[in-house]
Amino acid sequence: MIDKKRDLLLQLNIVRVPNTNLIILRAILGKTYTRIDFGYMATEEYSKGGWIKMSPDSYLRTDSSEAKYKLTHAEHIPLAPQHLHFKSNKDWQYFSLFFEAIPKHTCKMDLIEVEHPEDTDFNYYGIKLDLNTAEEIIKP
Amino acid sequence: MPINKNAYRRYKVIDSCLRNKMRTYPKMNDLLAAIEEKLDVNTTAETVQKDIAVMKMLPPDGFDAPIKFNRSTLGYEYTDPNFSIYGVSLNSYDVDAISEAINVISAIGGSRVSEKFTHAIEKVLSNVQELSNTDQKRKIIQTDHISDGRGFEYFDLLYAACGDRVPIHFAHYSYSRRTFKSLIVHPVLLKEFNNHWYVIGFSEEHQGLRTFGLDRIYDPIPIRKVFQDTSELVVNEYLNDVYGVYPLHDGIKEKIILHAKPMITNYFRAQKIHHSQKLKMRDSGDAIISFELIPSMEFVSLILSYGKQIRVVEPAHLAQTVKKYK
Repeated sequence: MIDKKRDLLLQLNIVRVPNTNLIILRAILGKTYTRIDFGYMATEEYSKGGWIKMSPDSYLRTDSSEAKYKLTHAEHIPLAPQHLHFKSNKDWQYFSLFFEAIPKHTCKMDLIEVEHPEDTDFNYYGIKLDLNTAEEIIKP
Repeated sequence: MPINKNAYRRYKVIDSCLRNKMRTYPKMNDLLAAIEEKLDVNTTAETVQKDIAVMKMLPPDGFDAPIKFNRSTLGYEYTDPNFSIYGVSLNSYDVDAISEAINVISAIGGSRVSEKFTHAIEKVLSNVQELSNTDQKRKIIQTDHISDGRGFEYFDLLYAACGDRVPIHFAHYSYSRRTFKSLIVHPVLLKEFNNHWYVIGFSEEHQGLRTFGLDRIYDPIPIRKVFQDTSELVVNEYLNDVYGVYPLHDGIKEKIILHAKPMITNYFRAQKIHHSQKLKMRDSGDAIISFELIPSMEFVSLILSYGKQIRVVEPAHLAQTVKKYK
């Protein structure tokens, strides 16, 4: 039985569709934040791999309420209008997004970067957060 | 309370003054002068008095040093003439041997292990320098290393996880597949090969022992979970049968035969690259070199590094792999 008072880690490994070069690696449900870690692989679609950025208006929502959990900060990815330009189409980037804390219970979650997204936006829908599969994090 | 490194160096100087049979009962001014001379720092009588007080304290705070102020000579002394804060007295041969060993550790360890260990090594070095009373010597050992490799910042965390048997969750990027994945690994060993560090452990994803380069690991996080241990025997078998770290062809041990031209043969004759290596010389100076090992990317790289001087005789799949990268 997991202790919900602790920070919980959920292994996800969910590849985005239709563009499969973005993957949600894991989510961390903390007391004061929700962190989502991503991996991004640059593609040959763009010369030198193109660029990435994150909208500062990004948010999370769950299927259990109408609440929006705002993006608070990002690590290893700039917030728009800044961009991270790759140097080749074989580059990759690991990055983390931090949001306001969502409730710690099994639910489905959406990540909304843009309300009316294009394929290249980092929107994810129906991310299943099953607390039965969560691991407790040991604080250093 | 941990002993401050600078204070520790002062204690060593004070200790050496108190043990100097040629200049007994050193006065406060003598101690101050010795510290200034040996450590190249100015200090005060108050600091030295505090140092002496600490040295007199019981371990672990001090050394239980029998220091006494002699009123007749107005100097300090050890009431036990055989006392030393080193615990054991070292002769000049011991000191030279330690100095040489420290040079090796400094050359290898100082650059290849974490800051924590480097600090410890520096501490030992500073002591030995004071012991041997030598100036900074020219570096006479050099090892091949490039510091600041990506992922090395996780060394301490992974080292602790191996020792404490704590599973780790991390993101991993595969250079060959160009994909990310998050994994749970139960780490048992850190290994260095060709100046790269790797963590080896039971991977839940692969249901077996796997090797992960620290440069491909992102944000390892310790998690509370029952540790899936791997016996030392299994780990040794896993490591001993492979040259390098990344096995090819499902990690199956097989016989490998290489044909080496005379110049390259000399290197293989001088030093085995794997414990299974057998070498059969030919009259022309060429050699047939055989191994019983699991082929790896590192083994392929080694063969490629010798260019046309070496050729894979068998197995065919290894010859093909080498050809692919030529």
